[in-house]
Amino acid sequence: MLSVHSQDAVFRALADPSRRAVFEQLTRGESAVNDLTARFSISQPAVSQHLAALRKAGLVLERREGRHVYYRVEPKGLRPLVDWLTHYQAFWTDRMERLQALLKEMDE
Amino acid sequence: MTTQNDETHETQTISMNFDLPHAPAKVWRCLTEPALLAKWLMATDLVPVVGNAFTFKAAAGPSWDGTVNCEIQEVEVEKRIRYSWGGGGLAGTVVTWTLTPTENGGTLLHLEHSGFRQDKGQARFFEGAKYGWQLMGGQRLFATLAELS
Repeated sequence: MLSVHSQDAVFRALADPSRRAVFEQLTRGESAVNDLTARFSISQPAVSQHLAALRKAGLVLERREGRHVYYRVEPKGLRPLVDWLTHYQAFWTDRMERLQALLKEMDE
Repeated sequence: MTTQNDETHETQTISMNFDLPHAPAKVWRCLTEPALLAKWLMATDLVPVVGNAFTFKAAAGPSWDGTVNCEIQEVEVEKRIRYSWGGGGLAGTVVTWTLTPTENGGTLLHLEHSGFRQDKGQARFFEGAKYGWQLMGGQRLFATLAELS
């Protein structure tokens, strides 16, 4: 079962514009860190950090070949973003907080 | 959250309970008066009468006009209100609010949002994705995802 937590993790991982750019690039095909560094005006450590964050959120997979590491998109990682149930669970949780605040306000 | 079977499809249901220190009459007002609904849920023209077709309106965005289409299916004053809920690519779901008075004068409020189909059809998958990206403001990313399909 998907949780609001996993949705948050994916949202957080993709909230950063340069990290999102790295992810978008990977949707076009598998790449090594060097390929990504060459493409973006960010340092290699920064690219590696983005990749680590994307991997942690389940959005990217890595494959080692000799001295090289290649990264590719894990499409299943996007599941938390595309599931209506998850959206609405987050939605109702948020709205119920508002309802409770309103009920309290009505007393004042 | 629970999973249940209906006659033809396996569907999923969101189920939440809230123990509120407020009387059912007051909670009922928040669930049925448009001016109050606008404050915590969405702008609406709901009239709590069976058969009333109404909308909830959220902010429009590039992939969803922000409209939820509803129709009242059941009304029992200060006890239960149920309406269909569809829009933005989501169809066939139902929202039910049930109010039960508690001993201390409060209300046990139960929310059930049922009818989420489990089929992972491509179209529906991307409708959901669009909604997700709209939340995030990530339209370009959605375009690249669509290419992946």
